[in-house]
Amino acid sequence: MFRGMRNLLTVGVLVLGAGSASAQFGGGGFGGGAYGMAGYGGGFGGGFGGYYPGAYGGYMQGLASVTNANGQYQMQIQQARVEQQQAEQARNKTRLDWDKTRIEETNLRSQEATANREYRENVREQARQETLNWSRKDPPAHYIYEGVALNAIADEIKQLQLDSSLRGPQILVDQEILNRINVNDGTSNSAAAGLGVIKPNGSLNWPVIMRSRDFEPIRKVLDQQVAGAIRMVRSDSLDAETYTALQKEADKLQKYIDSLVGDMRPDDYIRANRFSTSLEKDVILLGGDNAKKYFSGDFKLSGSSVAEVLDNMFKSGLKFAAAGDADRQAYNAFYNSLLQYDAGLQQLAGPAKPAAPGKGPAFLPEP
Amino acid sequence: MFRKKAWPLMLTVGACVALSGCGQRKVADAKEKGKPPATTPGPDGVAMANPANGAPNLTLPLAGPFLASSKGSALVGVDGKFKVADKGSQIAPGNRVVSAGSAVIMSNGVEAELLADLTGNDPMPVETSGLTVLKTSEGFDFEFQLEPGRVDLENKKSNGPAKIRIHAAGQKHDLELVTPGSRCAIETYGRLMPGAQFDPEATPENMIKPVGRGLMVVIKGEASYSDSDTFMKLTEPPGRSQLNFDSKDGHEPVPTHLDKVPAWVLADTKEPSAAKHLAMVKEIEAKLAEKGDIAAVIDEYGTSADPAKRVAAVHLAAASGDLARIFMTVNRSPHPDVVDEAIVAVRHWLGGGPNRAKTMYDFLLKGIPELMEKTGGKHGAPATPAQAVVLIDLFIGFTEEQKLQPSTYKYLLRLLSNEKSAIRGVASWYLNHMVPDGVRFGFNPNDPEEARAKSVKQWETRLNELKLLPVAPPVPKVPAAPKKP
Repeated sequence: MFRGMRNLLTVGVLVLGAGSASAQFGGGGFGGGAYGMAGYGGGFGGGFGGYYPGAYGGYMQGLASVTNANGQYQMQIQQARVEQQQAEQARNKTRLDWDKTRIEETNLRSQEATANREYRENVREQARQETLNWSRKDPPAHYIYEGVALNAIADEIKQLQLDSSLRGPQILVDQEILNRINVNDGTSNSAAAGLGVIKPNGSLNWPVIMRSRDFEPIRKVLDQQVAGAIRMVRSDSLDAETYTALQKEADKLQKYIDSLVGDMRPDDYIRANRFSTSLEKDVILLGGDNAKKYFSGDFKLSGSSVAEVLDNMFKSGLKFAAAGDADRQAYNAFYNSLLQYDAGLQQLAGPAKPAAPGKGPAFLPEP
Repeated sequence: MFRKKAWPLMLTVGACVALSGCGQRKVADAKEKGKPPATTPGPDGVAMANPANGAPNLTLPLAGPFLASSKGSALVGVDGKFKVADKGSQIAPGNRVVSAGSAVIMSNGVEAELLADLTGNDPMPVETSGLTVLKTSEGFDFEFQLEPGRVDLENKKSNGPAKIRIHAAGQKHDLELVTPGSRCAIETYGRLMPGAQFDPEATPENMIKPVGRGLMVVIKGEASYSDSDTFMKLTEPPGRSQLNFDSKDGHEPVPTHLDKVPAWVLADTKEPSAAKHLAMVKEIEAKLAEKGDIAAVIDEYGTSADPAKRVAAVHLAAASGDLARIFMTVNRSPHPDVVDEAIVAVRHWLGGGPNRAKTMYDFLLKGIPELMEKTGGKHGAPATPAQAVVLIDLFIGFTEEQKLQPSTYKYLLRLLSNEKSAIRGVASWYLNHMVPDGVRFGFNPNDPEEARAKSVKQWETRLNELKLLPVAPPVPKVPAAPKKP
């Protein structure tokens, strides 16, 4: 647009310039003197203004100049239009180019997003595979006790059973062991979602250090309050007063443990503090929507063999939750049974398909 | 981690106890040292020390092993107290000899040189070296109880084999240096396993015991090793030259082929940093020889402006088993590095023998009257049994699993405000080592409470940022009142 305006301005200047020139020619002619020689002589004597002799000559010359100027004007207008068109074309081309670039950019971003998604999937898959490998071969203790190893192996078994329609060998499990394995609905993290220290019968799994005389008063109160609260939870009648009193007592326990910190050896404090933290979390769960399920048998493992236990879990959508201190032996025992079942199933299903090679980040690193 | 930090200190400690020719692991040097001031012919043509000549202020036996290196190169313990031994002084059975340099003991043609890790390249964290001389059994030339550290043994006889009986990890290990000039290096290290719990009521049978690791390398000549169920021939490299011991996995030694003597065995004492420290070592040796009073040297160096000297003071106190002196040095010194090194030194000392945890427990219950007097009762008060147990368990350390637990960090954070400065110091040491940043926030366990409170607050903020503290449960919701039917 600016370019077009500039052309118009140019044309305007030329037009004005042409008018001025014709006035000079005209003035010179007329100013050369009267008619004839006088004018001629006068013309020479008066200067350049008298080149075309006579008034007619001057008129014609002026007319020609006007015509000439007009022609030039028209040409310049035309030229301006041409230039305007060229500018328009250039603008359109630019817009097309820009659109093209936009499209390319969009495509590129789409590819990047795909690549990143694939990369994230690969990373996730690698992490899953890594967790599975760790879980299968000599995992750190907390992998088992937090349910990580059990869930990783169970998920793999579930997928393998779905793919192959096979079942693993018959590995029997004791119900006593199953009673000590905590499970939840898997909707929140395992550490927070399983009842860690409150057992299904409403009793508390006190660690040895907290079974001493020092803890007796607070232990008695908590045992009573927890049992009472659970009776109410079972009958859907937990009231605010009972619940608040239980929270206060759990808080009091934590403060009491903290007050003993200088006199408690490291391992004792760690166990006591872990118990207290778990109790606080359990108390919160008691006020939750799923509280009743922990005591109604919904969040309970059942089955006489690993295959049955897993089938029941898969049907109910249950996941393994963290172990309480007293449950660790049961977790180890069940882990070994699960591992046997997994190994047997793998043997029946044959060698696993090699995983797709990781593509890695195509354009960007993992954000 | 500790090794890197500690090795320059060991040089210093070496200075304290083993001075001239410290680290000169050369046979020629040892020969020179092996000469007592006056000798009388002994069996096998071996020169024996004349007890009447240059006798130290120790109760000396008339025969037995003697110190062949210069005065100040070794601390010799009598009835649990250590003294600077003179050259040529005889060492009675039951006496501990401690050194971190080049103390040399001669016994019936066997030269035992107690060495230090001068270059920091040794495979084990050798802070000090030591042994307890035992009554030599029939048929042997030298018998001793091995303590953590490095001991080189050489057959100095003019002919025939030299037989040595070594007690370590509850076992007897017999070593025969077959030919004159045969030499081998032994390096051991012990520590109480992290997570072990000290029980003051435990009997000797069921008390916690350190786990020991050891290496034996034949440097020169031939040797044969035997214990209750093993016999092995060893030669200088190339060949079967190394035995590996690990009391955790049983006592069965595992032989290893070596192409050449490992670099750590033949330490280069001309290395600039080692040479620099040797100069200081000589200075401290001279001081020890001059004063003859270990406590005075520890007190002088413990408050020195030179960090190496401060650290040397702490390790010198630990080497001599003077726990009170360690605590006093820590209390007197305004430098945090003294606290750090004292903790390392005590941890090493605890790993040096099965009874040491109990010794420390008894010491803590008694308190440190001298320190109480100097600080107007502010420090050095007797610990309660619970406090003593907590402190010893802290020194023993945390398992890897415990280090993952938020409760552990909370425990340590709370201990930063404990009434006992020793507990505060150890807690801050662990936080400093266990938190990735390695920050300290200016915490000094000896600072007044107000100054410490600021650091504790910073620690708490940082631990929360790193999500190392237990997560506070979300605000619980109060359940709605039950619906009435």
